[in-house]
Amino acid sequence: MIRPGCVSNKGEVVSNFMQKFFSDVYIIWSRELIRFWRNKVRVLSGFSFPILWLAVFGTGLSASLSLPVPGVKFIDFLFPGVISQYTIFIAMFGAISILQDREFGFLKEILVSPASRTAIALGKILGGASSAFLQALPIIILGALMGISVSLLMLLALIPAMILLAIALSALGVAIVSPMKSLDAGQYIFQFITFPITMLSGAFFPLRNLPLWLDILTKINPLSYTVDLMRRIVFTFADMPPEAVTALSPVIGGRVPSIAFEVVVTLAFCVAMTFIASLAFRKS
Amino acid sequence: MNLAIKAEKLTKKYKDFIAVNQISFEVFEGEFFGFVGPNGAGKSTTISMLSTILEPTSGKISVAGFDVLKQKNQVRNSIGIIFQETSLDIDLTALENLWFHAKIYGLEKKLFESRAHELLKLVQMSERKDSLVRTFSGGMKRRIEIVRGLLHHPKVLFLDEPTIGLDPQTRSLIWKYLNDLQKREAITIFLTTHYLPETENCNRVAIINQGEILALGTPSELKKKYKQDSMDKVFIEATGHGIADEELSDDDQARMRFKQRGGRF
Repeated sequence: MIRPGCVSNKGEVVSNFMQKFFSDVYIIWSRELIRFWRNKVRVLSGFSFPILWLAVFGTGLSASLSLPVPGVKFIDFLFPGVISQYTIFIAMFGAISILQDREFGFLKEILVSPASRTAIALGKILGGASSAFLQALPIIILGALMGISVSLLMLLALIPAMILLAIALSALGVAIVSPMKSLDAGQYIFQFITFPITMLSGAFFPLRNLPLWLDILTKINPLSYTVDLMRRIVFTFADMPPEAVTALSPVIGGRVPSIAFEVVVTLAFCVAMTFIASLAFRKS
Repeated sequence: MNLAIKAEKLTKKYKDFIAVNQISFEVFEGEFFGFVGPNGAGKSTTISMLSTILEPTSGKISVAGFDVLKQKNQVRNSIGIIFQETSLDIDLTALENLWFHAKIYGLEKKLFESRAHELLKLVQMSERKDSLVRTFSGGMKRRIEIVRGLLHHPKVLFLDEPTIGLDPQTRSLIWKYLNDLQKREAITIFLTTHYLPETENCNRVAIINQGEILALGTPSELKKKYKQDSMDKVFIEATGHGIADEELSDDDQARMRFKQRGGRF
């Protein structure tokens, strides 16, 4: 804690400040985790959503729909899509906790405390992201049960992509709810945003041979590149034919974007959203 | 004597009405100061401004020697608040709520443990410290909030209607504790209340109505001024016999309070 009037050099003040800042982020984040753990029954009930999408919809559609790529079943295509979709939904809706805190008064306790607004926003973003990541992780087991050849390497490659996606969407959620006052409004707006951004991300259908308007909408959606990145990870480690890995990726200027490009877009989206969310929260 | 709070021409305007209009007052260090007025008089708005969570439209405030507008962080470190509505996380246990608070205020673990232990014992909540707050009654929540508000040893403690909705036993327990504490620690207490007998123990009381201070003085000075024998009667005499505020529907009152809080929370 920095005490006014205490004699110390500038470096020490800065380091104390940073220590307090990270400690605040950590506290806010750990509160979210405790709450997540305490609500695990409710959390588990939400898992019916990916089960329906992957097991029922995926298996059902695979039976009569074949993709234009030999050796790839529709469910293989849908698997990374469902991971992305569930991560996007949960991360985004996690930000509702700010509105709940507002409604139940706890936000006042936080706002009147010496914690910096940026630290509070970051703690909230990381809390929502962690809970989304932990909830989406079991989909990988579900995928294995559905016959996708999941490997440890695939898991290790998917984890960072999922974390970045979760942080980005959690931050987007925080940016949206920050100026809002009522819990109901938040829920409507989220429905209104999450469906289109997931639909337009290539989570449910390949971004190939689309009419121009749909092609443009999917390409300006940064999530398209994250979803494609996740699919390329899955296909690569599931021992698909190499040509299958990029056969369903979006095409820009006659070429499939490189992995590096997709990583950069994902990272940039994540950083930008976090920045915007902190700003929005400070202003609220 | 040193000043704990100094407000100069403090004003909060909203589009269609003035919640607080150019009020000035001083609270001394170690003083037990009452701030009373009818619903919608501007009490909560004033507390919100004093405690850094609401920007005033104009005016100057200093709390615990710091400028509220420029040194928010120092002010936040020096104050404790018990809000009108509960502000505990009901999904955490009592102790977890206190732990969260201690961490945010930079309290060391040992100090936190000893203070939490002592304070919980005082408000007779030691046995329930590991229960979820959602299982508590209103009075139990209030007692935990009082413990929390005192945990970091604030110089100034704001109490916004702290005993609203509590039974007489809990109310007297809380006041006994606060009075003891105030004598022992020389903490400054800034109290808003509807329950006028609670102001009999105040060092000084300000009566506010429609955003303006009508009278300020010790309870005996006020009684003399208004020629009454209790603070209840002083209050009615000062703010008028009309009950315009009560004629509002509950919804209107809620909306008015909401507006007063700056459309927040």
